[in-house]
Amino acid sequence: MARDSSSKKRVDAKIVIVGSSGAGKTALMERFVYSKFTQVRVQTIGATYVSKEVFRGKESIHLSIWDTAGTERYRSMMKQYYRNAKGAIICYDITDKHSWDALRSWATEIRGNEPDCRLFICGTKKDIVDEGYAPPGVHSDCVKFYAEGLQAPSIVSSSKTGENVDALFSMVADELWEEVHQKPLKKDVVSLDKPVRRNCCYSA
Amino acid sequence: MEEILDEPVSSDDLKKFEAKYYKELGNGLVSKESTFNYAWCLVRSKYASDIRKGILFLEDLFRDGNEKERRDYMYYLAIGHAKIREHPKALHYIRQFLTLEPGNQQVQNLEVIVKKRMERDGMKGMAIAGGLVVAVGSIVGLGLVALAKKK
Repeated sequence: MARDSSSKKRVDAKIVIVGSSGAGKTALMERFVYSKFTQVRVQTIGATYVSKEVFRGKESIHLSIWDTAGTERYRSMMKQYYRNAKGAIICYDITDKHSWDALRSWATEIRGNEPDCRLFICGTKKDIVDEGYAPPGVHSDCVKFYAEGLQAPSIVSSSKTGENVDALFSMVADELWEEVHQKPLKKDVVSLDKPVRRNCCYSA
Repeated sequence: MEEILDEPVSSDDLKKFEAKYYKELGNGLVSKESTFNYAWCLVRSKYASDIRKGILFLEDLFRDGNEKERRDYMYYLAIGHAKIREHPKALHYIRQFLTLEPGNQQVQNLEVIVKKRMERDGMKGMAIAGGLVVAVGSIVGLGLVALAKKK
């Protein structure tokens, strides 16, 4: 891969999206990466991988995004996906109190296992509350208070309308950007998550 | 997107789920969950022997599983076969999955990756065959030159 152009710097960062089943993690990822929204809910199997480059002038940050399954059967395996992640977007459905409780357990778990991973709180399905179809399941002050305690930025988005989705990922990119630029750069390419690339075949 | 096939399981994780599986096996009762967790680690291993073992577990789980669980088994069977370059078998599971859930983006993405790899393997095969033709041709040519010189 020709990444060593002298005028460009490329930064790789691993991001993981976690949260309870049905919180809308995949919808959030699809809105950001493919600019689309599908109403049909499909359960993610294990985790899916997508990537997107976010530009900052001549430089870019390459977000490697792991969108994980929220179902209970994968709960014990999720540690493998957030390991070495630079950022974790923890989603909760703003109309669902259980989803918020799950967020708190995610935040505690990731903080404990990956203290350097930055946390971002994302309330989803903003449109449902805005349009009056359902009341909020958790008070916004409660979210604010918790997020401040965690030192994690929080935002409420709608993957259906697209509201605040780009804002969320910009926020993630900005934070990671700052982190990289605070450290002296030795090389043109800084790998934040040291991805393991393998090109060889698997011998039988 | 090919990271989904290249993402390796760490040996610690593999050992952890392996130990849990064999502990339960020793007690005479292995849960479906432990079997699946172990199989899931195995198919994500970098060693073909592990992947094959994982595939065997998943085939058993698939046979005995209910419809809801089967989609997960099918997906990882496709991943496992794709990783050991048994692409037609991987595609078989992908197609089976897509007949049940035609719009599944995750599996559609996997299909694209598998087809791309299949094509790449086909090209490599053709390149090797092409190389052989050139080599054989050169030998025959040299032989003819030698024959002509003899005369």
